[in-house]
Amino acid sequence: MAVYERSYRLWKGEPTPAWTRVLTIPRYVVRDVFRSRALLAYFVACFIFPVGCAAFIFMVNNAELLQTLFPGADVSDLVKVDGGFFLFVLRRQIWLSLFLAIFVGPGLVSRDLVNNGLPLILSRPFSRVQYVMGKMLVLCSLVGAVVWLAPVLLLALHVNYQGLSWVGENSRVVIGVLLAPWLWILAISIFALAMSAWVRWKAVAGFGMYCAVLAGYLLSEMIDGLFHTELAGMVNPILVVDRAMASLIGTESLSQMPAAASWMSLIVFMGLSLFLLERKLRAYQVVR
Amino acid sequence: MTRSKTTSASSAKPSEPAITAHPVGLPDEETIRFDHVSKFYGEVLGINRVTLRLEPGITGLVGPNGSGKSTLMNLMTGLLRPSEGEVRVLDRSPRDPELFRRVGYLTQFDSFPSYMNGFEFIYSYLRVHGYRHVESEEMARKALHVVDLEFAADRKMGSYSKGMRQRIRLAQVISHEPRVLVLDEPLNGLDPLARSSVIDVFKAQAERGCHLVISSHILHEVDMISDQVVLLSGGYVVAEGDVDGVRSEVHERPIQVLVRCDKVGFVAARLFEEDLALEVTMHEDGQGLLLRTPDAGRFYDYMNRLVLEHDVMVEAITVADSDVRAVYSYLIEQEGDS
Repeated sequence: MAVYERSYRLWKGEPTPAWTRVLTIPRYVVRDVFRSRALLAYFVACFIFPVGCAAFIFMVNNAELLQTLFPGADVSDLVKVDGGFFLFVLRRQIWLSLFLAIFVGPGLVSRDLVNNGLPLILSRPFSRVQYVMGKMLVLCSLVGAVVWLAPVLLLALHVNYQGLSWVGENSRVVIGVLLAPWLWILAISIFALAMSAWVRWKAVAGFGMYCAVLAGYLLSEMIDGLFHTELAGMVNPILVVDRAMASLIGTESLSQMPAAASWMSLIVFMGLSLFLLERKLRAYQVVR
Repeated sequence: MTRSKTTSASSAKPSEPAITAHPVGLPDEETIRFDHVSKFYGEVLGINRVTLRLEPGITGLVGPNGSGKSTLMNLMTGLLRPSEGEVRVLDRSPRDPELFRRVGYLTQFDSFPSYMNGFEFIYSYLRVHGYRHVESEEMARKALHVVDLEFAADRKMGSYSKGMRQRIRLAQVISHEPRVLVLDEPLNGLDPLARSSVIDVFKAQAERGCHLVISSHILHEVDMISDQVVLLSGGYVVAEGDVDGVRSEVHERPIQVLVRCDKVGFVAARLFEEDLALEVTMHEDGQGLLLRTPDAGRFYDYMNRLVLEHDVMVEAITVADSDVRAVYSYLIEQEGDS
């Protein structure tokens, strides 16, 4: 047999911008996630608390209503919407989003690794970084809706009642509420992907994520009990994020550890997760 | 079509790399080149000092498990970087993202996202390639038509049979109309009918001037469709070129030749006299003989003389062991034995 014709012509059209191709990854994954009714119900339930908070903000900003509910009380001291309030909301949302990440995260990378599906996508104009970004988009959009979007909407509601002057007086709170949730969103997303890459069974990976958080809490309590040091919280991811968020918002944290220690701990945690992810995401198989 | 000169390292030790001589042929933009390429996975040898030049058409990669076929393919598609040497595909580095638009890689793994249907599978990877929505839809439908899977386009891939999965993966690989198709065991899991239609797809692609690099354990099919073969063993290229050429260079193995003529007894006797036949088997009809000759070149010259000087009527002369299986057996299994 021989080649007789040379009719091949390369497609000459204009390709889409490279950054938009990352969106191909979450396109079907998010749809797949919401096929589970239980997960959809849980996702909706994550917004019940913020809805309650919105009602609270409504009341705070309606003095007449408060006077009716608490006759004789000094309503200005009764409730305050400040940095502490938003950190309180964030803490609740973080716990809710942890379980969301536990449900969604473990299957994201493992199903590509189980059947050696990575070369499928990496033999295209698509890098490992873009692959990770695409997968993170799935988690960031879901966790972000719970941890970032809900508090930001509450903030917007409060600003709507208080006026822009409140923003000027509480700029640190505003910036903190806009930025602080991303510490958690990024940390939990990278960690979930790393767990997904290393543990192929979804249930085990999810349980592993929960255990890691629990182990961090227990370890920090143990260290604190033995050495009575504020740095014990550095091994507790929830406390670390809480302290780092408090430092951004400018309010009190549950932990007394120095803010720098929490930031360092957070960077190490994310770095370690990224390292684990990098070790596992290979587009080829080596039989030794 | 011009073919690379056949080379064989069969007589060389495996530790010595195959040295390839190439005529001045197609420009580099038309070829896939490996220049002294080695790949080590830590202490594990992938391939060692491979020098190859593949021209458009179908190239069969043949070799036992662990011989380096997949490593060669991963290097070609940019999934691996060579430890030494240089790989150029259509005169571009395999790390060049632009090249990926011209390369389609079907891996050996039965990998697919089970939560997508067949259409979405092809469509989404076209979007990754940078095609817009309308183009992607059109190209996905076309690819599904080529592999005859339009009827299953809306079904979840998790429900596909193995043969259907193989075909949908093939559709996905050809959907962006690549110039280079790298296909690792593409005939696996296909029934004879599907295999035949897939081979037709390969031939059609080759006729357009595409490169098809195919690895397969189904040797007779590789033989049937390949313009040239690359035989690998233990990470080394043992031989490359067209199968007949490779066979003729295996000097230490006498070539089996089938001769159909009218004076078989006379021909056999003269061949023995000239030490050109080691063994002869006569056909029952008295019109043919199967012989083993130690020197193919001298044998063909002498047959010409017999025809001219002794009026022997020759109907056919065919090399009987120049298929890939025989060459594979001579070159690779022999090495395994030694």
